[in-house]
Amino acid sequence: MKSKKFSLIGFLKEDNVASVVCVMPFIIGFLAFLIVPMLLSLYYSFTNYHMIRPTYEWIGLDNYRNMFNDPRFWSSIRATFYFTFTSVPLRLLFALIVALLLLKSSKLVGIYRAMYYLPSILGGSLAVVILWGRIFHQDGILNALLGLVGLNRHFAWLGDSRTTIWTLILLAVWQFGSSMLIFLSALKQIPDSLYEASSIDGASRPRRFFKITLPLLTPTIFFNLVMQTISGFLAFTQAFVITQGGPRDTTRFYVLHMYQTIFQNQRPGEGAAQAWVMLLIIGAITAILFKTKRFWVYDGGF
Amino acid sequence: MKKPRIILAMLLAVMMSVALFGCTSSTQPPESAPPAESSPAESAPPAPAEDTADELSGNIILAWWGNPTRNEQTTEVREMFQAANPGVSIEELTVGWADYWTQLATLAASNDLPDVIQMDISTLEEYVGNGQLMDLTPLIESGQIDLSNVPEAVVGLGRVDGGIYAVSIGQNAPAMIYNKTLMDELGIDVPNNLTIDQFVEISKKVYEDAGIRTNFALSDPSNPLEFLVRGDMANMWVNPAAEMFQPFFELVAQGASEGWGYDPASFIGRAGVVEQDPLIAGGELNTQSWVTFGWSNGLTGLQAAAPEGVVLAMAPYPSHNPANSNYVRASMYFSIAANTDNVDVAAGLVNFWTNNVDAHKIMLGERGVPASAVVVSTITPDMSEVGAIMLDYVSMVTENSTIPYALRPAAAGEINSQLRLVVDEVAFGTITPADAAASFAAFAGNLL
Amino acid sequence: MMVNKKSRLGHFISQAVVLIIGIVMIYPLIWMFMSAFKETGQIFHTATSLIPEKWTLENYANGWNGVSGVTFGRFFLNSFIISGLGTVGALVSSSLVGYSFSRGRFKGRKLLFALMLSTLMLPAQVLMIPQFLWFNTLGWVGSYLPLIVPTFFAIQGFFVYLITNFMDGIPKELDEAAKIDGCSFYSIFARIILPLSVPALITAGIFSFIWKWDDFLGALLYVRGTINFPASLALRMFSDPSTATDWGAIFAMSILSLVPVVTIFITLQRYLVEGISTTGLK
Repeated sequence: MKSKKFSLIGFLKEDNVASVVCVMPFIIGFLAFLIVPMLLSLYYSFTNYHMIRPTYEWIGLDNYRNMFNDPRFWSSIRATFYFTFTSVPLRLLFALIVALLLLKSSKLVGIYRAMYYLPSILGGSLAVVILWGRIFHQDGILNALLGLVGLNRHFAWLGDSRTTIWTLILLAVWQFGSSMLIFLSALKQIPDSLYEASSIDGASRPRRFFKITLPLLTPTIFFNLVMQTISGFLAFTQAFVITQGGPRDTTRFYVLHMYQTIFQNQRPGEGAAQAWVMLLIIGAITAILFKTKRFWVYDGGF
Repeated sequence: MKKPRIILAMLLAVMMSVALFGCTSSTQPPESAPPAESSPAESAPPAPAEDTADELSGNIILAWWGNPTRNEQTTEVREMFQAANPGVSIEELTVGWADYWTQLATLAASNDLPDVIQMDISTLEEYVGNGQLMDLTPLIESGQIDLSNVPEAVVGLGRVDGGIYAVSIGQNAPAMIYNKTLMDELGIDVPNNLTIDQFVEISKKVYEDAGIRTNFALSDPSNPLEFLVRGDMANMWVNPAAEMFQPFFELVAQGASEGWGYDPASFIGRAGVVEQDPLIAGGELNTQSWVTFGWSNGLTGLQAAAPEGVVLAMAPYPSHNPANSNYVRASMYFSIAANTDNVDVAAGLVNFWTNNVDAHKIMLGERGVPASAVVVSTITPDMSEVGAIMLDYVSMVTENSTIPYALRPAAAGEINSQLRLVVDEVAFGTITPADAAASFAAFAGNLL
Repeated sequence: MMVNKKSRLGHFISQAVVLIIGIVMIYPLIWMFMSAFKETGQIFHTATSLIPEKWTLENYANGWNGVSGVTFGRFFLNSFIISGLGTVGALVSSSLVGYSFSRGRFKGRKLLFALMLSTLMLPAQVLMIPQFLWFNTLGWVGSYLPLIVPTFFAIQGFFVYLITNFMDGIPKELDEAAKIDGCSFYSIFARIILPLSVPALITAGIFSFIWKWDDFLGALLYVRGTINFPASLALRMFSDPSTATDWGAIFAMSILSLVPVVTIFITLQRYLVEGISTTGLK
């Protein structure tokens, strides 16, 4: 500091100092609420930590061993993969088709957009999840409607291991509105000049779609695919509230399995181990998706 | 030159963040301040028991799982207790059964258990074993919790490792609740203490004559299974073995293959929902059941929800050895947390709950037969017809049972959940009864 | 002529398809809304008709009474406190941090930004238990602090990303002009960048509010005492299969719990759509 007069205010006003000051909440939060709990979780995954027991011990890899030896763990992996790899593509496909349809209908587009988007906004709410359970209940709305048109009205949608997971997939697909909005805005950004050029060349409509529209949408599709795959792996509330994992563990999603390990079976240590394995799975899937990127994602400019 | 500046900036940012942080907690309105933080501080000074013997004062938290009826009754009794003890304030914590144990586990982890806790036979041992509950013996001896009118056998229901850690707030007994009206129409008599063969015969006949099925394994399979195993004088929670379980799984398989067994697919969404119980819910014949395997105190709710003209009755579960199989248990307990700040108020509340006749005139056995014999005899005239049947039933079972009920171990929840899965697999035909028994025994053995 | 006719037909078909899909999608919500006005015993007996035979407000009255003496009014108040403070926290911290990421110059900015992006992909459930234990160590369990305080530290990457992106779109010339006028880093933020970022803040605020509003698992883990429950947890408790079967009341309270979200949706739809479209997220 030597003889230079030090002014606190002046110091804080220096740009680089000020930048650090502003970003500080994130640094603190990141350390305090993410890094510390993550390290704790890693540590607990090697202990027999128990919610209501005051003491615990280091048990090495036992939690990991138990977890992989548990058949219900593998049921949960199966259910989660099945759910994610059907609901995400279906949702994106649906979003894309509806976005293309909406692109043309100009008059009522605002109303339709709202109609389609509303489920995405409400979908996270418990109220909607409860409602969903009643729709597919044996004495529920769907069967009542089926009875109205003279079909079998006693099928147990939530009791049959073939259909139950599809009711949850449907709930996820129902919330396609946000992806649809993203596609809509991406579609609008495709310059008309490209289409004009191609119609001069005499390209047919499907050809234009596959040669121009779809490639230009691939970055958007890719980004959504990654984010939704991650959230697909984290599905919890719908299974927790509607099916509790049944029938026969076909909807025992990974996070539900983890929740039950922690709270029903009272083994938070094993739950922590499961959390880390899930992190690795998600990391691996994301990495694989990124690897495939160069084969199908268009990365040139317009 | 640069480094200290950055460090200083960091320090300031920390201070700024701390200021922000402080601001969040203070903007929270006082009434929403957490009970856990406020109650110890406020209740600490007036707590000592010495100041006056009968003037209770201080704050406690009372936790229970419930249903709307129970919640209303509990609140009403809580208010009666407070009216009698103006210095006491009681905060309520109530959630449904499943979430209750999640909340309780998190509360235990944060060393913050409610003062008075409704407990269950399947969790008592675990909470005691981990030092979370208080041994009530001194309180009982000093008369703060007066159990002089409670039969010794009922007091014993709360005994763990030589201490008394819980007071029963209602006893019940396993009861097969059935549609009496239907059985009369079909000319079928359901005697007490059916054998397995008689039970199967009735089930077949009901299915053949009326098309109505038999739900014995789905509501909570661990109850009928445990009942059967007790018939062999065995305890499935101590040394599980495949031979113990095979007859039960064979029954499930037989029911499925012969058609009279209730279809697990139709049972989804019905577990624990009184109105949806196949016994009374109506609908297609093959989604109805003539019977439900529940508890004696369940009769009240089921009868109230049954369609008009349907009379329900109850009998013990079938067993080849009823005297061994039958038992009376505590349907629920009250326990006191080991780290309570206000033993006197907590004990006062438990005492009130056990002995206050007016309180039981409100509750009328909703949680089961009251523990105190005096209370039982006083409220009997106030009981409905159904309530009286319930009291008679439990005393009948008391007289006809020889082996006291053993508490379930901590792993019971996980084992139950596996049992439910195996029952579904057997009913679905993907696994043979012998394999089911072997795999289930191995699973349970692993955890016990 | 021919072409025109064909495309008009195509247009008509696509319109019809769009309309039918829309109705099918909205139907369950309308069904629930209408059912809440039916007598509770009639709801599933008359499940196929939308119009109640007899209109009643009884379900709302019954539901409003809540659980063990605590009304839904209280639950909603709790929800507003949690969601409101949580949203304030998210906006204050995310805008500061976003501003620094967008305009700041310091060593490690890129690394920090990458870390922030990585939190977008970090499953919250991984941290469920350790966070619980950590908050427990801090003595926060049993209060709203675990639900609110973290939002003041910009750890929800989504909001930071959204706001940073938006601020990147604000022309740099504005800051430079202000700097020549003698504005500091902070006053540029307060006087120029922040006011211009209002649309992004609104978008982030909406999402933050809705997510907090819907969260019941956090409340289940951290909130103690029925009187402190937010509406989401109360609804969960209310609809627990072992505790309730009054579907009329459940639907009525479900509808009420959706009202704030739907209101936000209707009044601020423009911001939501813009926010989603510009970030390509959620």
